[in-house]
Amino acid sequence: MADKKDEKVVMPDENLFAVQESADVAENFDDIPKKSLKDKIVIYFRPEGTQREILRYKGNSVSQLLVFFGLACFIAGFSTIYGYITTVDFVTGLNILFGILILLFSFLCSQEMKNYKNAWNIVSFVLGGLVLLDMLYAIYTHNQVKADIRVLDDLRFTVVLVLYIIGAAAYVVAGIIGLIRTKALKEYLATQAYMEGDRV
Amino acid sequence: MATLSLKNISKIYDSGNLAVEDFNIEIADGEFIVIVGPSGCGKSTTLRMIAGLESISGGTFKIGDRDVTHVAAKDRDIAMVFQNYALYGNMTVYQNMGFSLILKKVDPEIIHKKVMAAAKMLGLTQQLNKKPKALSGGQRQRVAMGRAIVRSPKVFLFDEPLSNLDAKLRTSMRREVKLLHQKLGTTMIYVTHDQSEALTLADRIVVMSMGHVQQIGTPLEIYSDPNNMFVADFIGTPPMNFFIGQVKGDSFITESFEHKLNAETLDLLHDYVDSGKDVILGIRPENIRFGSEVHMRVDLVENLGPTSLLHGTISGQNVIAKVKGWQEIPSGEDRTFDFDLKSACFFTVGDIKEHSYRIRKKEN
Repeated sequence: MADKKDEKVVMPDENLFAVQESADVAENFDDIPKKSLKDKIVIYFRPEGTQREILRYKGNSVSQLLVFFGLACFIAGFSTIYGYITTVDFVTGLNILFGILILLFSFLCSQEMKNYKNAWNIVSFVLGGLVLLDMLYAIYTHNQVKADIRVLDDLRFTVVLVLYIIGAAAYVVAGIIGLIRTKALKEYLATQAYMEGDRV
Repeated sequence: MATLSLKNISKIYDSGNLAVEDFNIEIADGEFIVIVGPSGCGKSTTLRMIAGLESISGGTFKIGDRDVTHVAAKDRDIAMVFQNYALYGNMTVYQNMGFSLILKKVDPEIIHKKVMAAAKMLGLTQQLNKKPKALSGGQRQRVAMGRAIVRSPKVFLFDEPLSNLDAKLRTSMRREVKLLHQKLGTTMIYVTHDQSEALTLADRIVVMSMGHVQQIGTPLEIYSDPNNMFVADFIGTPPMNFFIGQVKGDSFITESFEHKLNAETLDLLHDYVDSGKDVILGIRPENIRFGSEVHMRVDLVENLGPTSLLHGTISGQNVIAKVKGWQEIPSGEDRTFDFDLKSACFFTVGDIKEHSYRIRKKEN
């Protein structure tokens, strides 16, 4: 009987759960020292130890939100231009199509970046570049003159440029964060057994 | 420390429905209390009042020295596990388990450590990135327990958590809930309608019926020393057999049989001897053995291996006897039995089972 007590009882995982020896949940984990903002930023861009483990279970929400922010800036700039144009031509049509594609790929990119898909981190850079490229249409519109008055005045033109630059920067930063954290997660998962649901 | 004190707790709904009345109990730190009763008896309502999900109409509820009668649920430091799991379907297991700590703005590292510890304890480490729809019923219930565990609450509340599981899984999970209690040492209050679950898990059982507490005691006390006919009937499988009759001379006499009483039983029932008053004899199936006093027609034999259940009738009244060994008795055959009156209970005759009180020896 004493021998049987010492035997490790293995329970099938499908139907039963075994209350295993583990770190005591009641242990006071609150003893982890508080971090300064600088430390938090450093840890965020260079995740180590537990921070890498956490990547396995949490999505890349920051990159996702940055992509949405970039998209919001692009839409704001896009809408501003289209509130003032008077000439609708072939170039306008191309620009609208361009905008739709940026919109669709941004949504897709945000979701895939959340799941640490490296290819979409690169796509985020491309989207940032395309937003900068769309500045050409803003310049084209700004150069239109009707009855000696600029269609898109200097102030609005400046606002649009700023919005596009901020938007592009958001896409780029999202991509950089995505690349760093995806790399960290990949390195961590290379040392672990595969688990269903692993994003990378 | 998490001692609980419930004094004169009652719940009256706006419609005037009295769901719970005069609920009193003192719960020690680390105790496992099971509230058991039939559907509609007020056990879930009582649990919800403890959780803060229902307001308390009357009485006081304290956790330690702190009066929490009118304190919001989120401030009571209590975690609850529901019958239907109540998991967030769009979140992974990891996110479900850590959600309450995220709301409290706990450091993500602390959340991670607590979730991983609970997941390891419950055998969920391989399921952390799955969503609830990809899990079995047992796994979902474990996630619900894990979500409660990570909060390190003072009190755990369980509202029939195993009711949605199949019988085999229920039995194994029951054992694991008990092990969990031993591991964590936290006060737990568990509600169930299954009396066998109550007998297995509890340090003490609260038997409820029609909004009232019928008896509070250890499983042994509840089983062997019921306060009234309701408790005697509700606890125990198979249920207790009841016979209504009178005490005449030195025998208990019913319409269908007569059974001699020993001196101790006669002493207990001396107010009823030759009085013409009815009294109810309650005898558990395992206290009926082959003998010579009572004739019973055996209609069905359930052979369970080391014991057998004999289903029969005594003058039309259904009776169950639990005897040792494998029995080969043809259906319809008459056999004679004896009642072990040392373990029998006698009750007064009330309008309902709850009012049929146990006759006890008067203390001088």
